[in-house]
Formats: sequence, structure tokens, C-alpha cells
Amino acid sequence: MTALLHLTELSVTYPRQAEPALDAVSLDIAPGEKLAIIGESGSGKSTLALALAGLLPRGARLSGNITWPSLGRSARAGADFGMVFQDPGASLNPVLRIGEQVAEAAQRHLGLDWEKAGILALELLGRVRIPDPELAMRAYPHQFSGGQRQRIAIAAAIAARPRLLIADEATSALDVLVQAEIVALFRDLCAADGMALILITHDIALAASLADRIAVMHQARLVELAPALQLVETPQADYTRHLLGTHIDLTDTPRIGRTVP
Amino acid sequence: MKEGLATDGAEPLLVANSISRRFISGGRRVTALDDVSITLSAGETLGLLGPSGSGKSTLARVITRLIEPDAGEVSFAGQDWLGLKGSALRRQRRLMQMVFQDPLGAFNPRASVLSAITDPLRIHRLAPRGQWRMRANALLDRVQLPASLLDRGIGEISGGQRQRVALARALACEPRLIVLDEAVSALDVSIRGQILDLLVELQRQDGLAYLFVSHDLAVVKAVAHRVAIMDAGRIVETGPTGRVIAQPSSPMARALIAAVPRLHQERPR
Repeated sequence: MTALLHLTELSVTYPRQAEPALDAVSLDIAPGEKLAIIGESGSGKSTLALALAGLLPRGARLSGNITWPSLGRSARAGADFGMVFQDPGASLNPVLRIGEQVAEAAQRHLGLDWEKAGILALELLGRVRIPDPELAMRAYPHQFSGGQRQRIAIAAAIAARPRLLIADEATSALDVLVQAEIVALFRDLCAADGMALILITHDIALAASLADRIAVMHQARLVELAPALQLVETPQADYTRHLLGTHIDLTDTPRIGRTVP
Repeated sequence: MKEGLATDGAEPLLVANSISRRFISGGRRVTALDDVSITLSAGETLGLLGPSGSGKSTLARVITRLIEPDAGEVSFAGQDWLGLKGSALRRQRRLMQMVFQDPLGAFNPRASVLSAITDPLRIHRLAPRGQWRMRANALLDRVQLPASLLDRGIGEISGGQRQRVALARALACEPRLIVLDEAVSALDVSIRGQILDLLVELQRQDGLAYLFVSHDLAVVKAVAHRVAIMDAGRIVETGPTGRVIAQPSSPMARALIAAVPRLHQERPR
């Protein structure tokens, strides 16, 4: 199958930094695939997402290649791929009504007139399960909870039916119940639309519960890439074993005795 | 109220009884805490769990006297804690310390590690100036940081080191209770485990009590003897951590357990 996205020896060095933030990373993403990129702070996982999205800060040096074989051209942000970040407040305009923000994405990337874009926005808010979408269209971002704002940001990101959604720590600031709902939403959207997903997270269990494959980043390098279950059951890289070893799971033995001392 | 507490004879360190607190939000009255009671003994960790908006942080803030409740009593270290005022409150306050999710927000960003740790010694007059550096060294040692960090800026050290400094500053007050509000949530996973081990070790040494506020059940399970599950301003379930996880009786406890991502599981396709 033709890859959706193909990275070859991708490296990024930020201004005034001697060491690269991303060091010769090569990988493929298939259409419809859910790929998790995991690692700790400073591993390069967010740099990888920013490089893919063309959002690196001015002065960052990029080498290597990003190609989109299934498109046969370079990708357009918003149209071919969408992005959601940890803080949805930062991607939503506080003084624009929700309907306008989601409709704007549809209008810009699909060339719809405002009326059709508005109808699509209403449908999208329903798809991301915002309660009472008609009312939500006329409301402002601050009137929603953090989890609902993230759903709205997702609605705007998928408005143009992108082939890929990049989610950078998109559930990290949410409580576990809301996180589980957003994960279920990602799963449903990918299944329904054949959309691919890049899930960037520090949580290996979250990655294992959603992704088809997991890429492990450490000190700017890709240290292991394997199907999710295989990576969890039979990790090959020392660092992957370390991450699995330090993960705090519900099945772990408590660090304290069971009785009050 | 004294009878029926989950302690064996000894007076609990902390008893919060029938705490209620309402806020006005957007013209509506929101009940943040509705008749909430907890107890905590010396050497014990109580995990306070619940989703966003369930009232767990509000309860922590009432107990630490950052906000006043509309109703209820708190007794701490044998005193009427909510009745303490002025200089009496200032004298006793050191006994209950708080560590937050983002230690950078809790420090003057331009302070040195030394001044961050020794501020309480000065404020509470716990040691003469000539001893501050020595005391700071000893505190750094307790949180397993090298003395070489003392003169570094609080903004120059890593997030894990900063959280250890926040603990060292709390320990400088010689507290009996530390309220930890999502204190390990922002840390990388490998650092998180080290901080949890440190908390358990400090408790073993000093008989510290912890009120451990978190939405992460796996982390709570690692360190808490008992848990209290909060939902919409009420405590809906409480009990020994292992028992609550193995046999949850409330819908909220069941939902929190089900929502924890599992490494090994049958996954929906």
C-alpha cells in the first residue's frame, strides 16, 4: 500500500543549540493508521510533530525529507492534516462564536459558502458529541469545560476531512474520565473516515490502548518502532524496557504496606 | 463524631467534619462541597480521587485554610483548626504544608534553591541565620539532591529536581501533614516513580501524613493507604485502597477504574 506519509532521515536543530532536537528519524505512516509517538520531556516527540506540520520556529534547521506519497504533492495544513494540542484554549479564538470557528475551517479548506459551512459545522459538533450543537454554535469558548473545548478543537481540525490528525498531548491536561472519552472519539473518527492519527504522548499505556503501532523516541532518536502489542509484550530497545518498567499501572504492587503503620 | 472513626484508639491527626462550601458561578449557586467528612492519622496517606470539578481541590484548600467553608469543622493536631486566627494561625500553619502540581508557580522564579528552602526557616524563626545553609544542606540530602544545587536558580533545575526542592521546603517547616495536590502529575513517568518512592521513605522516617489529591488512580494506588472518591461535591466511597479498587461500590469509583489506560488488555477494534 502507498504510504500516506514518508519521513527520511528527518533532523531538526534549534537555533543556538549544538545537539539536534530530532536526529535522523525515518518512518512511514499508512493511510488510516493510528501511530503513537511516545517519549519523555526533551525526547524530540513534539519537535517531530511540529516538523510534520511545518510549525517549527524561525531559525530551526530542518534536513531530510517529508513526502506524502499517497497525495503526490506536499500537504496543506488544515486541509490534508489537522492538529490538536494540549491546551485547546490556545487554538480557539476567545471572542469568536464556536460556530464561526468551526465553519471557518470548513469554508477555508473546502471552499464552501458560509451557509453550507455552517451546516457542516453543526454536523461536526454533533460528531464530536458536543451536547446541544445548535446552542453551542452561538456560544463562546469560555462557556465550555476543558474537555468540551478539546472536542470543539477536534471538530475544527477535522472540518476539511483531513487524511491525518496530529494530536500532541491532546488529552494530557484532561482528567481520566474525559481522556477516555476523547480516546474513544479518536478511535471512532479514524474508523468512520479512514483518517490516520499521530498520537504524541508521554503515556505508554494510553499509546498501547489506542495505537496500531508505537514509535519510541529517546534523546532525539527513534529507538524502537513496532506494533503496539508486540512493543509492550516483547520490547527490543533498552529504553523501551525502561519506560515499561517505570510505568505505574493499576496492577502494580503498592509502594506502601497495606496497613496503617 | 469521635466514635466510629477508622483509627485504633489514637486520636486522628486531622478530622474534617461536615464541610460545605458553595460558590456563585455565572449567577448560579454551585455546591463545591456538600457535607464532606474525612479523617487522617499520623503516618497515613489518604488518596482523594475524583474527576475535574468533583470538589477535591476545594476540600484541600479548605483544609489548608486557603478558602473558608460555609459550614463544618476541622480539627488538626488537637486544635480547632478553623478557629485559629492571626498570630496563633501563623504559628501553627507550618504544621500543614502544601505541594502543588507546578512547583515553578509556587516559587519566586528568580529565587535560588537556597532561599527557596530557607524562607520557612526565616518566616517561622525555626533556625538562626547562621544555620540556614547547614540546614538547607541537610534538607537537600533528605530529598536526595546534591548540595551543589544550593546556589542554582529555581528556574535552572529540572522539573523533578524542582519538585524535590518543593518537598525540602515543606520539610523545613517540620510539618505533620503535607497536602499534595496533583504533585506528580506533570512529571515524566520515570521521575514520577522516584518522587513517589521518596514520599513513602519520608513518611516512614517521620510519620508524616499525606493528603494525596489526584485524578490518577494508578498513582494513588501506589502510595495511599485509604482512598476517598469524590463526585459532584460529595464523598461517594471511602475505604482501603486495595479494597476499593478490587470491589468498587460507587458508579464513580467504577468509572475511574475503567478509565485508566491499561498496558495489557483486549482492545476494541
